[in-house]
This record gives sequence, structure tokens and C-alpha cells, in this order.
Amino acid sequence: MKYYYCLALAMVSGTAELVAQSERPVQSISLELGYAHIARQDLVFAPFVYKGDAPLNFGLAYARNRATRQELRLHAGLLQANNTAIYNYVEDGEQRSTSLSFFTLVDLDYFIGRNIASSNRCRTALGLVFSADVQALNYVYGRFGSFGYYSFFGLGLGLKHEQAVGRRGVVTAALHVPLVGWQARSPYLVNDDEFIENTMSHSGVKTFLAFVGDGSFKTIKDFQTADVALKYEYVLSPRWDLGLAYRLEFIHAPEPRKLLSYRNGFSLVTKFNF
Amino acid sequence: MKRIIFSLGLVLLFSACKKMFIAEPELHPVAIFENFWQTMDEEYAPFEERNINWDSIYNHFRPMVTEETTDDELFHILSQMIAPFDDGHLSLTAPNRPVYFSNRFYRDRIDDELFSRDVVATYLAEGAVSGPDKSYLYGKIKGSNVAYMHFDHVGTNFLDFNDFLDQYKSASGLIVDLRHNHGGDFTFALSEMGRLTNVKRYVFRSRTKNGKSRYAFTEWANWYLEPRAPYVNKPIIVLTDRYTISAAERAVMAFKSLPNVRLMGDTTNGAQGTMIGRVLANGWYFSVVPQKVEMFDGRSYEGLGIAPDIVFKNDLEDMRSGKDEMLEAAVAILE
Repeated sequence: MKYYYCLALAMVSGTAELVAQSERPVQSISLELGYAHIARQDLVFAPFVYKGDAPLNFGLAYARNRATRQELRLHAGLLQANNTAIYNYVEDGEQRSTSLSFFTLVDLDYFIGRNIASSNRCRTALGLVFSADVQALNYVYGRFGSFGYYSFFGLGLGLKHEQAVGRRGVVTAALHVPLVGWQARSPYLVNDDEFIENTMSHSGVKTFLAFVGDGSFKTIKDFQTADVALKYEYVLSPRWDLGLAYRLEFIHAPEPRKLLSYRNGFSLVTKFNF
Repeated sequence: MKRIIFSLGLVLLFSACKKMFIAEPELHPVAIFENFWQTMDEEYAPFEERNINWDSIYNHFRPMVTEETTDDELFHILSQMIAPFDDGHLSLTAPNRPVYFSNRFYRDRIDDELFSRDVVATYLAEGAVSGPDKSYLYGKIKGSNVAYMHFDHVGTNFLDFNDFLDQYKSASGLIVDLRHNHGGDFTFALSEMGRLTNVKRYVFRSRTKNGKSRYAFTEWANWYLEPRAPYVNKPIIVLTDRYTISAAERAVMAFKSLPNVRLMGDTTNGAQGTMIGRVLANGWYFSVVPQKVEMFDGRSYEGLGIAPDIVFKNDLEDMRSGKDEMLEAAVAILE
């Protein structure tokens, strides 16, 4: 059955020869650098969709491909976004300028799974995913700004499929869907006494932990998030791959006010196998 | 289950189509007016404290707005809607025009020149310390044994209050100047003022809107001054004016809870709740106060300001000639 499954995928992809995956080193480190775009509507901060781009968007991943497959991936992005154009205004007789809101988004994902189908041409792994998303949100409202946060630490399912394409290409598609987890977000109206109390230590780490501590347990019923990745890598040598990646992060959180966020990223990928 | 399938379906669309989001407020004068009024209605907290009938304001101004209303007209209408609040936290920002401040002191800069940091600096003996970006200024008053510290805002600059207290252990009295203090994060004031008390003191309580109803609030949260060693017990005079606002007023509440403190100067601005920002469909920004605050005496001073124990107002001519009479009077009391 596995054979026919992979054969069918191989026919779809129209490949000719196989990359000898089994002969390659089992560990790899890859670096992704590229562009990201965000469209985010968070009613805690505004009823508008904030759209913007990332001046900085990078990912770093370590993978180990044995019978048990593991991948640890860190992804960070600094995105600037707004729902309106920058403009000048006058305060205290001086000309001033509005500025963009900016979001610092950091994700750490750990996937551990086993192949459920494999051949020389392809393999599909299913496993568990631990996801940690931390987002620092700086919304700017002309004269001043407000700080907000979002964090999620969850467990879910991960599916990863790799398909050889041509003699030296590999396409990877991955889906991570957290099913349960601990989510913390800014309160209903940006800051309240609990929020302020959390900052009372004046220590970044303690404040962060206090914010996280104010979160609550969620399941996929009341909160949905997913990461989708599509990657093409070209095998330059047994050690080095070069490729392109597309990633989508989706978040839908209805409480305390609705948040819907899409982050699309396109990156260049350099992978070192060892 | 349907929601899960729907959400995953959204993911698979691989895009952020506008239709997936909640409909945004529309971009035309009537919709902007409605969005502005509704946001204030749902998120502004101290309507009662400021004696504002927001429904009446709607009824008065709504007929003035049509689809043909110009930007100038709309800006004027929205400004006039927040004018009766006289709230130091409320403002309206739009392109290429001055920010409109609801508070008449901020709007017309009334008595703005009755305080000058530069004038104060001339009263300090050699060795005075100035914080980065003029965030604080402290030193010994020339020819006296009175120590003085001015805070420009409430934030990390309050962390230097500790050094100030250490440096002037032998001072006969302290002047803490909160005139023209534009607020910030009151937790810095509460944490750093701990050295001024040897017992835990209740300072104020506050609660925040947490729903669309005008009566939807979080539970009251009590805030205290917690004692911190080494205890400093000296006569203190806190100087205030109409530009002592927001977190600075909460700091004033904390000072007022101490038995050895007297407030001197003018009444504070009267805007003690937190402030958040909001944006309209045309890109204009405005601010909202989602919080109610009550001082330890159980009263709200929102819209009133905290009155000084010793009323004192500088003279403009004196200030222009480099004389801060209020400061001189405070020194005379402490000597």
C-alpha cells in the first residue's frame, strides 16, 4: 500500500530519477532568510486589518532523520504594519509624524514523528508537535502607542511529506496543527489592573512570565492555529542544499476579542547536512 | 467540529483574503462618526465622573454629519464632541493639523509657563544631577538643607529616587516636584516610594472596562504602598500643577497617603485612568480612557483633580524673571 501511495505521488510529480536520501547524512541545519507579509485583525487594538511587511524574517532549523524524525525550528520576524498611511500632524507647534505599528513574532516548533509511508521517492511522517509562539505587539496611535502580547504553548499533530522531484530536487510539505495548549493574550481593552500588576516587577523576564501565567488552557475548539510550509530544496552536494520556502501561519482566537492573523513568508533556504 | 473544519479550510486557502476578516468600519463621514461614537460608548469608562451624557451628544451632533461632510467639518464635529469631557487623556489626531486636546489646559496651554525646569535649576547647589532627556533633576537647594527632585514623567526615572534619598539622608526636608509631570507607568512610583513608609498603605483602587455595556467592568483592584528598607521619615512637600497628570496623579495619591507629606501648588489635571489609542477608518487617531480610579478616601478625582493642601500659583512675570515663588515657599516651610 505504501508503495502504491508513493508511486502515485511520484507520478504526479513527474520525476525521473531518485535522490538517494538514505545515503545522505541524517542531521541537518538550515537557515531561512526572506520576506514576510502579515494581515492581522485584532479587535483588542483596532477593528481594522493591519497589513505590513517584514524588514527582518528568518528561520533556523535543526533536523534529524532516522527512524524517528525530529525537527526543531526557530522562526523570528519583525513586521511593520498599519491600516493607514503615515502622515504629519502638529503638536505643541511642532510638525510630527505618525509611525507604523510593529510586531515582533518568535516561534519555536519541535516536531517528533515516524514515517507512515516511505520509498526512495518519498516519505510521509506523522507525529507530535510542540509549538511555542511569542508575539510582542506595539500598536502606534499617532502621538502614543500601546504594548500588547500574544503567546501560545501547545501540543498538536504534525504531518510532513517529502517528495523527490527530478534528480536533485525535494519538495517538502508540512502541516502543524496544535490541538491543546496554554494561550495568553492582552486583556479586553489593552491593559487593565492585572496587566499593570504584571509589569510591577520592572523585569522583562518576570513580566513575560506573569503575562503567560495570566493565560488559560485552550483546545482547538476555542482557538485555532496552524502552520503550513511548502519547501523546495535543490541538492547541491551531499552536504549542501539550496532552496525556497513558503510558510503560512494562521491564528484565530476569539477571546477576549477576536484575533485573526495570517502571516505569509517566502524565504531562501540554505541547508547543511552532516 | 464545523469551526475546526472551517478554520483548517481557511488555512488551506493560503492567503489572507479580505473577506475572511470581520467587516471593517466603513470609510465615509457618517460611518466614521458612528464608529467614533460607538467606540467611545463601549470603551470610555468615566462618563459619570465627568457628567457626560453621551447619548445627548450623539443626538446633538449626529444630524450635522452627512455623506457630504468635509474632513474639516468632521474634525470640528468630533473635536466638539470630546470638548465637554475636558479630559487630559482625550485627544484627536488628524493629518496636517494641530492635535485637538479635550482638556482646556492642554489645548490652550493655560498656565503652561508657570513652571520652568531651567528656572528650577538655578536654585540648585553645585553637584545637581540631571537625568537623561531631562527625565529627572535633583540636588540641594542653595543655602538650605532642603533636597529637591523633579520628575518629568513616571517611569524608569523613578528608579533614581533611591539614590536621591540616599544622597540627602541629612536633609531637613524633601521637595518632590511633580509639576508638568506628564505621567507614564505609576508602578514605578509605587515601587520606589516604598522607602517613604514603614507600614503597608492603601493608595487607590481601579477597574477597567471589559465588555461593551457601559456597566461592564473588571473587579476593583486595590493598590498599595509596600514598605521598603531603609525607611526615610522626613517632612515632604510635593509640588503639583494643572499639568500633573495621569500616572503622576496616582503618584500624588501615594504621596497623599503618607502622614508626613503636604501637597502644594495647583490642583492636578484630573485624568487618572489609563489611556489607550484608537484609530478611525480615515486614519485619524483618538484616545479613550477605559478605567475608573478611586483614591483611598473612596472618592473619584477624575475630572476634578487632587487639590493641594497649600494652594500656591506662580506669577508669570516672576517666572519670566527667573523666580519660582512656589519653590521658594516650599523651601521656607521645610527649613
